[in-house]
Amino acid sequence: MSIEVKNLSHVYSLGTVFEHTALKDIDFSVGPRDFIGIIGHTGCGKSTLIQHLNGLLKPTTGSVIINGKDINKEMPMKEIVKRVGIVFQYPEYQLFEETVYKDVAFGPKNIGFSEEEIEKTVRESIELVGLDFDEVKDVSPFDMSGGQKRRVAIAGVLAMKPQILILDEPASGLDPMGRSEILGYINKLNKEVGICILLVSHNMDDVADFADKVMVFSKGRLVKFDTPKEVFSDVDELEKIGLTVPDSKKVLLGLKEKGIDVDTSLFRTRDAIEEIIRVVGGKK
Amino acid sequence: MNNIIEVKNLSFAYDSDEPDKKALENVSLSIREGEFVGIVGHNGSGKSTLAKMFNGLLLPTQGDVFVMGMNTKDEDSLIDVRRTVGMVFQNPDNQMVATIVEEDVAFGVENLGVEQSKIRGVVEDALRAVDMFEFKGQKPHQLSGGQKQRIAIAGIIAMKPKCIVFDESTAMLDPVGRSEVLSQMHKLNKEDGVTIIFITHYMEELIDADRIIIMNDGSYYKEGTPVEIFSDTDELKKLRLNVPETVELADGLRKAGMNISHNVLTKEDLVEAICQLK
Amino acid sequence: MSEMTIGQYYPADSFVHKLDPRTKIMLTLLYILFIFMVKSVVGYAVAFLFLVMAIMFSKIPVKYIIKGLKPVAFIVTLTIVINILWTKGGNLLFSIGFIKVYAEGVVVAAKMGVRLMLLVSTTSIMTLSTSTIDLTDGMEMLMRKVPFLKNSAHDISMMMSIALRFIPTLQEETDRIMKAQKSRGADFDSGNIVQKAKAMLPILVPLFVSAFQRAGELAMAMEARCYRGGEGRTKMKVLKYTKRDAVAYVIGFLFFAVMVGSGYIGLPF
Repeated sequence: MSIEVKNLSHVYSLGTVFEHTALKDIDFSVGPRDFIGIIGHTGCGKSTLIQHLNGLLKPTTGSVIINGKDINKEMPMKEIVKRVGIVFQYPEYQLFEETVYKDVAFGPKNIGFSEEEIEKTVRESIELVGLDFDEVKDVSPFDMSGGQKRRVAIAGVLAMKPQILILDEPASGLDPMGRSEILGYINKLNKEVGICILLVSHNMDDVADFADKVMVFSKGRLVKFDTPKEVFSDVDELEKIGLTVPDSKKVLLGLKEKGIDVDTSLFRTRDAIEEIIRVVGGKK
Repeated sequence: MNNIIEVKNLSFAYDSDEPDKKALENVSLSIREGEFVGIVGHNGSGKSTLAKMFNGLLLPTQGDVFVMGMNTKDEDSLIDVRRTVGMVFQNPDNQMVATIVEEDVAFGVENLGVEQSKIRGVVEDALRAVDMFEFKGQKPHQLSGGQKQRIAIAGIIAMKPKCIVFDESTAMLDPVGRSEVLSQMHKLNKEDGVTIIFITHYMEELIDADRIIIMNDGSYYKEGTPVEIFSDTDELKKLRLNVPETVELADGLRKAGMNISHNVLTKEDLVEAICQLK
Repeated sequence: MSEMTIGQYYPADSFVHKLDPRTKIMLTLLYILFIFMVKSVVGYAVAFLFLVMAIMFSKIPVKYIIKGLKPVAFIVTLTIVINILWTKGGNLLFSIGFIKVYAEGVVVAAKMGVRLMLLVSTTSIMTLSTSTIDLTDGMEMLMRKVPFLKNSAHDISMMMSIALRFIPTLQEETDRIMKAQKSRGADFDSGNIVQKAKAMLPILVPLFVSAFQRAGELAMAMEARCYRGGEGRTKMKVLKYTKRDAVAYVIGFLFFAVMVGSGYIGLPF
């Protein structure tokens, strides 16, 4: 399972005074089991991009290819959404059924799963997001807390068994523990279930903690697609496009400037701790 | 300093049929004039409910809330309470009333019955204070989230409150919008002496607060300066909270035996502290 | 959405734009009233001339006015057809089966069609040349003069302005929910009318839930800003009549007099 984006450009309101190029010449490919972080300023084109990956938007030029097939030519919408799931920002606003079970079953039903398949996938998905199936299945989603609603909404997309899951700011608005729980489950989906994850986030630390590779968008262009280590290596360039690096890395850079010879290519908090202790020394 | 807000033995239940299901239980605290206070707590800890008590949007089931000595339960002084304590909410879209920016800023001032000839001046000053003057003729939906929140702030400061409550006003913004709103809060606090009460999930936004109050399961848990509050990372995690990343890094180093002061909250201080050990 | 001209403001610096909204509302209402009292061809010509003048003095491109006619084209057509078929009198022009078309029918239908188009065009000029806020202010002021609307004038105009404020927000929201449900395989395009209606539930339910939540939050935000209804409230902008409005009223009444009067002084039709 792979997604290839070739030469993709998207222009909104083509041919009117409001004409606006949201994406320009985007080229990349994503393989199975990848965990990709997508970062960029608001309005950089990242939300336009993700809507192309499951056919919600059609490219003005270029193509999106899933498993060798151009999705806009050879794949009906139902086939696309079977493979690529999108969890939009504040997904709890898509809940509408009377019970959690029915809501999570909505997607699989739409794409033609059998009754047995639906039951199995609903149970699995609810458990994958850390909820107790028997406890929540008959509860109305509207009676749940914000954090639980968010999980039910994610389960609703997972239940369609996508091989690629795109999440737009899945943790926004949650409390710190809620944030790390959701991100933990997403990481598990990648590592244990083998789903390819594309995580759109404003939070550099989340991206640093989980992503194998990072896409950086600026003004409608994909300016960088590399490992976090490489992407975070050019602090000046990131800052020029309004982004920043994780705080741990800034501390390492500060130390380097003061003449302490630490490895500034590290960016995760736990790595930074080890590195500082290695260089400066622990027990003193 | 005088207390601008005093909360005494406050309990509150949303549903009068279920008086035992309390959103707030026996909370007592006070806010001093000119302070910058952060209030934190997990989702459902009661912090937003508490915020709505400060200007009489919600009234205590038991106990009292006093704003400059006025009881919020006293209907005659409710308008004075609300012009003393203004409030900026979480969702920037759901607090704009008018279809034009300047009209929205004028809304509160008009409600107070300010003399017509004075309104425009007040509105324009408020827009200048949040750096949004050139947007006065725009429509709200043409603005970014951070800009909308600044308009909401302008609408409040036009009413000249002594205290402004920010109820998770940065939660729905991107990093740029968040820092815009945060620096606006500090500016109001430092330059105009406005008391700020800031409810948030983002601990790093409270590094410069005078005081942080922790709410837990509807009760007042504890309070302290940022240094005091962030010094116990493990306790905060138990409360479903966290510490700013720099503090976590410092904490990790401390646990490995490095002698780093709990006063270290910023990157610069941490670099300095490590250099001293070398 | 972009097809909807009513409620859309076309900014320009013109005589009509600068008129007090009350003048524009009143003249539009009177025009609509009098257009149904026109009895002569001359009357219609004068009514048309009034429209042309209004367009010229508003500097609004004619294509915007025509765009405003599109959504009502169906209603106009329907009115014309019904009037042709229903009216009996004068010479029988032709008949197909049981359908009989009389000369009188054609005349009545033509009159109705022209009236409707003039009515919609004039209303478009009013809405295109007046910002929504001025429009609601003007309506509020006018309603205050009407005895049975006096007490609710403020509430009605507040409701209208909030509705206008939230139209774009709810449009965006609908779009967002629709995309989310499409991503879950929802199909809004195929099936018969019952299936299509049922398919709308996954959009309507979340939309209502969120609209109610927004309404609740907005009410709270308004309360926090000391809102107590219209009482004791002042306004930043106060509407003021100027000489320009007097000129407009005089011109308007002259036109109306000729429009209606021409029918009574022995002109044809």
